[in-house]
Amino acid sequence: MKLFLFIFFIFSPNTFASLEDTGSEMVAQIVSDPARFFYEIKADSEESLPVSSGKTYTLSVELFPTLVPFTYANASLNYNIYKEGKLSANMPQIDLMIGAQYMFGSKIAVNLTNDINDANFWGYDAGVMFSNSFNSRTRTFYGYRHSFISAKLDLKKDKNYELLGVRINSFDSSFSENSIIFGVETLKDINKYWAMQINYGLSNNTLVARLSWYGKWFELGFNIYPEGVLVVHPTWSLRLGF
Amino acid sequence: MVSDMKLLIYIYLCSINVLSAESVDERRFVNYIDISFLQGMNFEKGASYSGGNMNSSIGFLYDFNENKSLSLDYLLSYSGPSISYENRFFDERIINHSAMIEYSTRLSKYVRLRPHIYYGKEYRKDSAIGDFTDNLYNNDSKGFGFSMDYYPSRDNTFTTYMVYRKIEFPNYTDLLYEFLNPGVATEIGGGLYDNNLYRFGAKLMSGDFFYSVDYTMQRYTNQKIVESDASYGNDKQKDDEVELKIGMQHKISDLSIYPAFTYTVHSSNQNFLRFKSFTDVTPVFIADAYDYKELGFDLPVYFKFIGLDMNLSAGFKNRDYSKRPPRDSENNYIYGKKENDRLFSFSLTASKKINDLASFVFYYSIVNSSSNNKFEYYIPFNYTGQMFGIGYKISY
Repeated sequence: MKLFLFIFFIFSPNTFASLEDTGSEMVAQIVSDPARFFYEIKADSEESLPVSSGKTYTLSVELFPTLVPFTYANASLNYNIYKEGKLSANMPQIDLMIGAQYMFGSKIAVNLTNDINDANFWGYDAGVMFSNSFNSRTRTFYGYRHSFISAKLDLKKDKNYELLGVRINSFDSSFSENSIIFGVETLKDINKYWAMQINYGLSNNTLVARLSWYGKWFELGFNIYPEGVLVVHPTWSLRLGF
Repeated sequence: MVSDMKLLIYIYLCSINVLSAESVDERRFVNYIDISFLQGMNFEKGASYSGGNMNSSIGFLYDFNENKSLSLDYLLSYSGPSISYENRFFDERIINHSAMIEYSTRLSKYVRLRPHIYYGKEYRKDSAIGDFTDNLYNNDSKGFGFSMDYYPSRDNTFTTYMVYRKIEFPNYTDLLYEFLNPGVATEIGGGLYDNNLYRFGAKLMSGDFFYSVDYTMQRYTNQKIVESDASYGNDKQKDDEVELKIGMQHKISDLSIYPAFTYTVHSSNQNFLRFKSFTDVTPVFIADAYDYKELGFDLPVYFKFIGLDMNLSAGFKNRDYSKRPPRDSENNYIYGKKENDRLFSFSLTASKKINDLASFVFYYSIVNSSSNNKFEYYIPFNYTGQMFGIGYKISY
């Protein structure tokens, strides 16, 4: 856990001022736009890789950081509707993508504490992905995705809540983004892939670079949000192809 | 601002350059993706902050036949907090994305024509908190262009082009009016900085040498010149710039060098009013404050050393303002002198290939900026910054 915090802090906006200053600035960023922060955590779970050759579905569940520690139950499904070259050599592979997320920890927190009246965080995403082969080992992919998140926190009115000196207020906001995706995937060995991609949100200028390695069962990676509260998100997900 | 030593550790996370094409005989449609991304940290006295850069593009090309093609290119770039002199100040963030459709047709063995249409957006942000929507310098640009390539022989290429862009700044308001009329409850619309940009250029590549000349005109549609009595004159702002460049590429065994000289002459009819404070009733007027001449020199060198791909690069710029005097740290003009800004940069990149696609990158850079202008409330002029980095690069 200490290593996890270290990685998050070292790429935070103000690392070496002091941990308290850094934490205060991060909390201030979250408070100023809470939905955007939770969108970035949700976005980690959004599957944005093409369905592997020879497969029809890809099912993925983000284990870290979306599920642990942020308690977002999540699942993404990519469904291949057209295989490259089937009708025409110029036509790319086409996949449909859907995903959903729900933060069950927020409801547990409501039941465990008297400070919160209500908390509810949920989201969904849907999109389409195209991919072209360069050769048998490398292909480029590009697509579009719509994402939505609702973030609600209702604190008891009779108390003042502070975290690291920053006042925490109730909020009820949503965030929707329309992103373009493009990247490249390379087959390194049997069932071992490497991929790099850019996701850019046209509606809110959200930007993330994703670097990932994946095999038959799991995907490891780094998501870099250069304008995010937490710049680098190490990620780990279960990713199955059928 | 006092000159601060900054340490920047950069991590190149990736750089991808892939041309996607199957059998050219079978496929007329090809696409490419190019991504380079770096993320780093700035260290300075008592504080530090992360910063990074990203440049990426995706393109689609359809070949009608061997002489005609149509391409769509989308470019996306991000420039984060950095000691880089490209940003107006260290903490500025810029996102720029654009799309261009170009039609290419070869008229003969010697001549190719390339008309294009263009649309782009640029967003800026001044700090970590906030978003990119309301910055004064956000702008939209659209336009068209036309290029002609002439191939008189195998070793010579001559290219000439013209570009038109209509650039609109929806948030850029009348700052002088707002400053002179604080508290006035009036709706001040944006667009004051809107302008039409025209650029004409020619470039000759002959053997190992290249020569280019570019002429840029910016004609502002609303912005008028500021007069000495703190009012606007009748003339609208006009900016002109001429850039001459000469360079070469030379290879000695495994060592390649690409020296280039650039000379720029910039002129504008816009003047400047210095208000020392919000209540300053006697602002100082500087005529033609934006005219300058600039000399630049770049020397990139590529070579191999103990199994590493090395890139040494040095750069120097010297800018002399024609009319603008420098200011002291108290914002007082030093009359009898003209502002002089100098910038020196040096970088070293060492790449170690770890497989067919990927390389580790080790990076060091130093930037030194100096000026006889010591007033640095808005923009730093005198500083030295360093960057150290390790990274990861993909090239195909």
